Amino acid sequence: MSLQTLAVADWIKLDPWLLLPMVVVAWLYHRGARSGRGSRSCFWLGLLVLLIALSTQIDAMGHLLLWVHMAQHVLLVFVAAPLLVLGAPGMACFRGLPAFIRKDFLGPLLADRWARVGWRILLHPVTTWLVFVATTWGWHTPAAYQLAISDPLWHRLEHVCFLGGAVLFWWQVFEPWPWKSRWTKGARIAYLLAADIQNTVFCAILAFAGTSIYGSYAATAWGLGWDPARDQRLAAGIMWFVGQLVILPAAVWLLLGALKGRAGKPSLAAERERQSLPLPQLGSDPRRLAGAVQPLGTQPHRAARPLDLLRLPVLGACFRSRSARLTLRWLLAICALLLVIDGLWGPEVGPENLAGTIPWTHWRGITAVLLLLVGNVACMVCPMMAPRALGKWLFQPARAAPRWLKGKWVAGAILVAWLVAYEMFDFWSSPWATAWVIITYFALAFVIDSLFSGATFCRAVCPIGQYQMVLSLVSPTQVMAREASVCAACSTHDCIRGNPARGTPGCGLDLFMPQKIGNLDCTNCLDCVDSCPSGNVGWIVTSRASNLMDVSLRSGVGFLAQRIDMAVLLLLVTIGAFVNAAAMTPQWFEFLGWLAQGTASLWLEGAAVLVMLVVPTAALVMTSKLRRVGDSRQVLVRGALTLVPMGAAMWVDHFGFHLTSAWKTGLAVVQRALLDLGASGKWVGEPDWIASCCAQIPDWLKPAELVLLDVGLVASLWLVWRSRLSAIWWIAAIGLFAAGVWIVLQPMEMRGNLP
Amino acid sequence: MNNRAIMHLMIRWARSLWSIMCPGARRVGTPGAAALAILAVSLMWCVAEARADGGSVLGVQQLEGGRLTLLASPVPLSVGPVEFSVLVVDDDGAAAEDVAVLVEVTSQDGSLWDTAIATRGDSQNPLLASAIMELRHAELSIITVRVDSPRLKGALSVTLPVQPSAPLWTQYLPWILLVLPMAFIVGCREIAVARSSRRAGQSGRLPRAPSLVSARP
Repeated sequence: MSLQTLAVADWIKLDPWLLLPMVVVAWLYHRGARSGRGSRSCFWLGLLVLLIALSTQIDAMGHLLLWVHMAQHVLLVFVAAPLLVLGAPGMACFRGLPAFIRKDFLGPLLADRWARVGWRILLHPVTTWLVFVATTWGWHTPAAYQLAISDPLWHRLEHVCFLGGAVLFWWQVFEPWPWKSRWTKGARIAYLLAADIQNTVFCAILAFAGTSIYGSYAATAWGLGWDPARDQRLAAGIMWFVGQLVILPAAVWLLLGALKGRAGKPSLAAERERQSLPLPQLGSDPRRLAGAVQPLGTQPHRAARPLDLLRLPVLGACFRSRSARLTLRWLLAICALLLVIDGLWGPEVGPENLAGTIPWTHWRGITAVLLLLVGNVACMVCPMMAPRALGKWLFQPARAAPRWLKGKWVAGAILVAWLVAYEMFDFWSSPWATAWVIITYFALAFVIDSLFSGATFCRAVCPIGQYQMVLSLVSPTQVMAREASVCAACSTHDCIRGNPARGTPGCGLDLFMPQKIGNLDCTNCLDCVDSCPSGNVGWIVTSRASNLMDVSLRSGVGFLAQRIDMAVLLLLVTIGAFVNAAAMTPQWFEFLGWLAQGTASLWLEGAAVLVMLVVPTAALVMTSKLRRVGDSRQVLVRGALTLVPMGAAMWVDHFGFHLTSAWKTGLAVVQRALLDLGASGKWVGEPDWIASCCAQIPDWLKPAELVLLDVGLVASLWLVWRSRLSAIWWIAAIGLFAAGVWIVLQPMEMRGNLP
Repeated sequence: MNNRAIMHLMIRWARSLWSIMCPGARRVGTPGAAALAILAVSLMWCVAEARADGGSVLGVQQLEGGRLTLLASPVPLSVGPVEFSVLVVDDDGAAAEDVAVLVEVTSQDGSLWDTAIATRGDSQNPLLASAIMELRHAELSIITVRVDSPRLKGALSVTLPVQPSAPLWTQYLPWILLVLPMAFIVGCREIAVARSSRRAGQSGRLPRAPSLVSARP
């Protein structure tokens, strides 16, 4: 097969990074489209043309021949853009967005007066015409064109400008529902003809230039055996011909519409009148504006029920089933036992041992990502439930935890000790130490819950639990009552007391469902789901920013505004994210070396971590004390809550990095363990240790980490503004962001890799 | 077009300009405009993902029986990974198939820094043979392409300066600065909420700390 044939045969390359946004747009359109079949067909055809223009060899060949590049632009400007606009995509995509984005976020923004002014200016025919012409001429100047073909980033920008300008241009012509142009059809015919004239002039200049305007194409066309002048003439011809083919029929269509005295479709007012429906008075009310996207002739909008994960077809049933959750916990307990055995008796090289990789690379990474995407799944399936249940079954403790253990001071101290010990003794590189950490954890859970009633270990001792519960404040889900009215009518309060008849325990963390706010102190054990006789407890997808602002009375927590211990814990988890991540940069080791100067560095490293954790926390606590007016405790709690998104972003960046860069080590260590147990190498295969030493870090990882930090900072700043906090908290959030960016850009020491 | 029509058009233009200057006069099509923005952003995202290939032409050489073109991306060359692509065509304009392509980077004094075999598998475009090489030295370098096939044989050399690589943070600057448009959008939304709340006699923000404490029962 000749290479030219191969080039045609290999004509499409589906790039997931191009497909993903297209699928999102298509999904939104599909959800929200109410227009006729013809209109929808136009949209799908437009998307297809876009795919052909950007995903096929047209894009690759466009760098060698000018006419191919011009054909690509013509497809974008004169084919894809009008087809997309004919599909009336704007309102369809808007309607396809989730309700909370439409109403709570975009609604107020779009209803604002200045936003309307901006849109009016942008969508004015003069503006759209000028944008269209400016993009055509501007990007075809030799310098700009050369820049676009020599730099991928500028090339992308060029395409963005062409498609954006063309969509604006055709928006005026086809008036996608419900938008109406301010110009009459006659004026818009002139608008089209003026665009046609400039297109003809441009093509004439290109065709009759005599010399090759774009130097790079002169070389590549010659290299391919083409006459560069012919290449340029062909490019001009394509642009002129297709332009005529699209613009003139559009003008004729408008002319016919004008002659008939009506548009191609009835106006919004006429349609409303026909269906005897009142026109919506949009005004400036965001909710009303968002509600205006109702399709014509449909019933009034009903409030959508929030998504309950427990009602999902298969997964929901698994989560709802108590025995399924118990099975998962026992399975994880068995996994923990295997880690202990391998850690104590397996190879002492971390990346070759189950205990050296699974907990530090995989479990942490997966649970961090799940925290951000779903919720506190780690606590839900925590294997520590096994020793805790055993302790309670053996000793039947009825004694409540002492007062000093009810607060978060002990938990905060244990968290600090954990972070310090982690760096001092390099748990991640020592399977033996990891095994002993797991054993200690199990023993502690057994002892604490043998002595005290409720979930004392989870609430007051477990450092991983504190981290999970704090970060679940930014999770999109929450265990909560489905209907407030059902709880109001409830007299048994089984969610907190338990239901002895059904053998279901109440909440060990004293969270009373009707008064529960946010995920603080909730382990997602779902015992309340089992206990509720009305089945009124759900695992609801909710986007309540108030969880990070409300410092009033919370069930199980008390008045959050008065809980300095809770604020300190929140700060420690947040600052701990940055300290923990910074400790794997080369600069950290250089710093320790400079500090040590020959002394034992083990204790020095611990002291350095301690200082880096405690000093910023203490500084923020002290700054809240500086207030002359107001309650410093409340300011501290509010401030600590605002920084949680930054901390969550850094934890997910850090653990996600290890997971992404070293996830293949999991397979290698499992293969190694099976081979050690005597499994046949024929079935198990040889471990691929290259994944443990030289794995390539994907290109998308650093940008993804930075975007996550961006989102964290914006969320934190928004919370600071909403909570009316002083400049100190603004500075703290921006400072953490700067530290995070610096850490992310450092060459990282990868966990799970061979030394 | 007669004078009356031209006058009508001009009046329409003037009215349109007036409506821009005085936005409160008439409100037209806000939801449609807003929706357009969402679509535009989504589609622009699609378009922005389009991949370039090949890069800029560094040199073209006429060989006996064909032509050789060398392209590189990114240009100007700088320390770090650079993709070199080679296009080999015979005199009939058909791309030569069974050609071995070797790319070498040498210093001015002739010491070899790096060498790689360019293959079609490494290229997005099957007409090109590509190799990604790591340029390590920021000085004048000679890039040589050697092609070898039964019908076509020859080499092309270009001498170009390799610039020092920019600091890592500049490479990721767009991702870092993404926080600004995000903050801008959220800020605009907050201003809009605050304005509508003021009109309704409420505040969109939490009360200051003391008022909340005093509300404690």
